[in-house]
Amino acid sequence: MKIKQFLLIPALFGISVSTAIAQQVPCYFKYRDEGIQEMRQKKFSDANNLYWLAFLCSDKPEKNDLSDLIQQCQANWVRDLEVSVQQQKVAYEAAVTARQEAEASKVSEEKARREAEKNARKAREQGIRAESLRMALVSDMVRQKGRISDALTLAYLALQMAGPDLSPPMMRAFGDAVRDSFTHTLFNSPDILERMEPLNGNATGVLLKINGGNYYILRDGSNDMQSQVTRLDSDLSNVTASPRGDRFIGWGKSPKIQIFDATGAEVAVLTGHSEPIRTAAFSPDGQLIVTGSRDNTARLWSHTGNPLAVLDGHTGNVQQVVFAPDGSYFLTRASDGTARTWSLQGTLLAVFQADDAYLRTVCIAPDSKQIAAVFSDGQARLHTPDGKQITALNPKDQPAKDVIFAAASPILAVCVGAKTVQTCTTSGTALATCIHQTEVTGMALAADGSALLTWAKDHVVRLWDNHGKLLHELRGHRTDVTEAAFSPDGRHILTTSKDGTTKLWDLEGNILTDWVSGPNALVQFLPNETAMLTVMNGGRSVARIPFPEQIYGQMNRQDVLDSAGAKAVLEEFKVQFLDALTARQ
Amino acid sequence: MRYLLFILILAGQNTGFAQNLYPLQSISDSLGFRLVLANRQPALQWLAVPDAVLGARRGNYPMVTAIMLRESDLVVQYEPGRSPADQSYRIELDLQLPDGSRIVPQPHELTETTADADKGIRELVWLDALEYLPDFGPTYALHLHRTRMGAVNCSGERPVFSLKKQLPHYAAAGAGLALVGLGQVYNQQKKDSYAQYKAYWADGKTREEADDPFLKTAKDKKTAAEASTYIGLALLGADALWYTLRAIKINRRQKTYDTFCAPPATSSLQFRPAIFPAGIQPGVGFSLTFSLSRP
Repeated sequence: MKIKQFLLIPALFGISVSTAIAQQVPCYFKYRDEGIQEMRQKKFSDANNLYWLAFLCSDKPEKNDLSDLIQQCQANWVRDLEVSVQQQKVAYEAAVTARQEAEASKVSEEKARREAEKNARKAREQGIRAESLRMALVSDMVRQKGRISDALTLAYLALQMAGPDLSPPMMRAFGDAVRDSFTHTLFNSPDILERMEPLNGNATGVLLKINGGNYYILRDGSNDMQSQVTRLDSDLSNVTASPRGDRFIGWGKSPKIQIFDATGAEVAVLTGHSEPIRTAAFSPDGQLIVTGSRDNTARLWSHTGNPLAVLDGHTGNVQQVVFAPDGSYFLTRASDGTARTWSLQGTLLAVFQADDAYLRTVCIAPDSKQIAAVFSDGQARLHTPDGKQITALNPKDQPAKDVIFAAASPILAVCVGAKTVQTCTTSGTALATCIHQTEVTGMALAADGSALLTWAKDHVVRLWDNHGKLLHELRGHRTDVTEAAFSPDGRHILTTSKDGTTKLWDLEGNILTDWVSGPNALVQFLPNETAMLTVMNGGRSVARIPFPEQIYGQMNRQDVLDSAGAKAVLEEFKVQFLDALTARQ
Repeated sequence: MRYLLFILILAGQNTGFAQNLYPLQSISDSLGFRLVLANRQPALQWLAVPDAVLGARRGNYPMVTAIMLRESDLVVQYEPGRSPADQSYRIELDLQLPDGSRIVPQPHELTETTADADKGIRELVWLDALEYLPDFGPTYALHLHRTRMGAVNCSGERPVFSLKKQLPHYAAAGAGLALVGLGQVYNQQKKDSYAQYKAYWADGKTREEADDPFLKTAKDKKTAAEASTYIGLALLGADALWYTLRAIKINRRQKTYDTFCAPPATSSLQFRPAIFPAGIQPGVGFSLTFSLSRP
């Protein structure tokens, strides 16, 4: 601003001086000619000034063309400016266009770059997926050739490489490798095993029955259980273990009952029944024993063998005795078609029976507050232990076949008709109805009642949520499924089949591993461990198999990738995308 | 000696008792039934009247007279048939559930008793079999197998009294004969010694000079000769007896084998189409074959 003011003052001074000079000096023609020259040179501003100076000259003729020249100059100037504006406009538009093109080019370049990056990333991911799948398949192949350790390493690295993008073959390869690497044989039997029961919920004690009737107790043999086998009396037809696994009740064809300690030594003989024993049970605290016999009575004993009460009333063989889970009462069921509940002092609490119907099945809820009974006419009812009916569990036109309780929630499942399973609360509120196309042959509830497993004659196990929505169909068994169960943590499913195979599944319906467990397909989750106890080798061995997840966790805590074995395997099988493996580790 | 013979005979008999029994022939029946409630007690309701099974005598098999539920026990009453001396019978049961699975009773679940001694009726009881029948609606099947058992294994070779089996008998007979021969040698030696003793005695030798060496030797030889001869004869006799018993037993087994195990006899005279090779009389025709050996 200051500079402009500084220049304005001399300019005004110059114009004034020029005007004054022009008025005094004859200059008309000079300025006019110079103006014309300037106008021809398109210096319209100078030409215009010169014309105006000529206008002030003293020798200006009266008739002059200065006005015309000024108008012409201005007109030319305007035209020139218009041309210039037009040119600038075109230039501007061209520049804008150029800029837009440049910008568009930049965008497309960026887009192309992004696309290329995306494609590269996708190709890499697909490559990684393909490579991890290849590793899983190679793991399977080397496992079948007997290179178990290499198979495990490869399968583990395949999972590591795949990250969260796991496919069923990878999980299966790792599960099979874990099975072959970590299966620990606890016992080799001389004959096919008929029964296997972990004691106290772990694999350090197992009760076994071998074909032909001999019972064995395996003890504390995490590494060499074979050397710690105790054979019980050979005349026993049945044996029941105490909840802590430290006492055993055994009975055979005679009316006497034998009590054995953990070493298999006989500590007491209970006599009193007049006919052979049919059933026996320990109370949850192991302090009481109740026995049922073909003499139509049940007897209550102390754990040391002292007789406490004789329970008369049944008119048929006592077939089942069971203590309530809280130990507050016990129940007897007999072939007279009734069940009875008794106090711990031997007082009759209630009789469960129906007019013109035979009591087939009875079970006690985990909280001991309800008893479910299924009768021969198909009615299923829920009672209190003192015999009051809470609710009917099925409509009269749909006969019930079986009832089960969830282990840790007030939910039960009822198989009604041939193809339907219904779940409800213990207060009778219906939750879900699961309808099948073929006859249902079994069902199992998750401990918290959140999911239901059913299996049917189509050899498929189905997983349902507690609203009756079918989540997954577990297909893989080729003959009738005999049993299915949730793991204690509810994250795995075990299924067995008449073909003698056992399969371990995740909750997404993927097979994690499978094996041949023999004709009786004895297999159980170990409640206190992340493992399974199973028979193998055609039903002649007892083995412990850990969950694949557990081994994966263990391997994650080790530097598997840095081990010499892993490096050798990676080199031998020319594993690609090692950077991804390293990054994920 | 008589005791020895008795023991040998017993041993021979015992080998017959201790022999393994194999299935020779069997019949199986499948009886469909449902569980129904009669007077608040479960009972069997047959799907078809099992007349062909109940009360029908079939060959020498035991005759089943009744099948019922007694409380929770499944009872099969039967009348044993007449069996040849070396044969017996076996009755087996199993249950087929609606899902097709079979339940075979455990040994401790089965008892066998006499139901009616006068009529000779026996009972096979499956204790608490009702516990294996969970539902009252569906159809179950009771499988009843009656098997004739004998000492011949039909899946094996036809029993023969082979040279290998006879060799021990020949060896024993040889040993017996050798002992008898040895006895005769001892007997001769006894005679010689006694003759010498008598000769010395006759020659008027003193007792000290003649008696001890020859009479004692003669007595010893006599004992040895008797022992060898009797043992040899006993061995020969026992071997012959054992041989005979084995031969009879094997002959009986052969008859059993031929009756139950041999394939159906085909005619030794066979007439069948045949293709004749080139060179002799090429062409197609029929051949007549006569077999001289046992098929």
